[in-house]
Amino acid sequence: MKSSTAKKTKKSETPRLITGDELDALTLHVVLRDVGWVVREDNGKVRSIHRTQTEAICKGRAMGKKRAGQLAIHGRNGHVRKWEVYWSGPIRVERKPMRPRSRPVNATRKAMREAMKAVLRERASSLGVQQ
Amino acid sequence: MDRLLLPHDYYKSVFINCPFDDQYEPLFYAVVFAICDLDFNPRSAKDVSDGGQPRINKILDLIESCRFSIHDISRTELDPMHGLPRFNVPLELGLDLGCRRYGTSDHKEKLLLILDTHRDRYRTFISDIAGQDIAAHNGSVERAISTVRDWLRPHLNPSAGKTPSGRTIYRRYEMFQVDLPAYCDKLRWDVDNLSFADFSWAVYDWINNNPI
Repeated sequence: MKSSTAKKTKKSETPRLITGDELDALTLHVVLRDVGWVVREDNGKVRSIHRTQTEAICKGRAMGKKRAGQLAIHGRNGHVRKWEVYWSGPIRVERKPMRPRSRPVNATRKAMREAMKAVLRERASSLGVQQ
Repeated sequence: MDRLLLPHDYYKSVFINCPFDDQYEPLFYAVVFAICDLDFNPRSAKDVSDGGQPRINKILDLIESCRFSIHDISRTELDPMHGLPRFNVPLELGLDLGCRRYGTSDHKEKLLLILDTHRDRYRTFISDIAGQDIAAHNGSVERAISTVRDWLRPHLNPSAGKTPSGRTIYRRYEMFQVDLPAYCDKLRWDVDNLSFADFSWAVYDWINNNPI
């Protein structure tokens, strides 16, 4: 959801390409914790603590605008209920799946990558033959 | 636990607590795929290989290191051999609820999804969990994928691109399943006997080569 304070973007503008990590660094969250409503970074680092959600949202908005980032407002149940963005111009995020935590057991990463590429190449060529 | 000890991917990790029987495997792998396709990190007791560690400790470590948890209580039923209920999943669900209540401030943000075959079945054996996010998959892979997708959707950054629907993820999972046997053949693996780590890397490589 786009904030009413965000600048209007032109359709012709080229989107700025950023990575998922860069996007995370621009993101702030307003969440309920045992100490009250807090504004925290995407990595969990707490920036400020407030008595009410309204105060936390005001602070989060100010911080988000300062860094031209975005704010995720969580409800009491922990789920995000609103996203606000404060940067100007369109952006495109380079999406990548998260790398699994554990190491592969039965093959090297190189062999696995090559096997997957070969399978997808074969699938693409067989589809080409069918068409 | 000090917050500095939390893993860097705590806020993107999803602990899958489910039965480890052959019948459940299709649902388990589908849920793993859906979580990866939504750019989260699936974790399971299957991916911890330290044989010397007591099983409950592995599970406690996983619970502490994941913000999101999915607990599938659909196999909480009487064992035909012994006539006693299988109660591992509800036990671990209880540990997770305890972690949220008594853990660090980061743990106060933990979110739990409870899956079952039917929506209100839990009321007959574990009614105290009322008020949590509870959903039914009716044993259907497509339904399980959609349920997990809908539950994680509010936490997907809308700036990172369009969120795929449950049906889209299911179709992608079907395509992945078509490619998986050929991939396993190339690596001389048994497709019916994949380790969790190898399966996760296969999903990772497939999604990397087939972005949404």
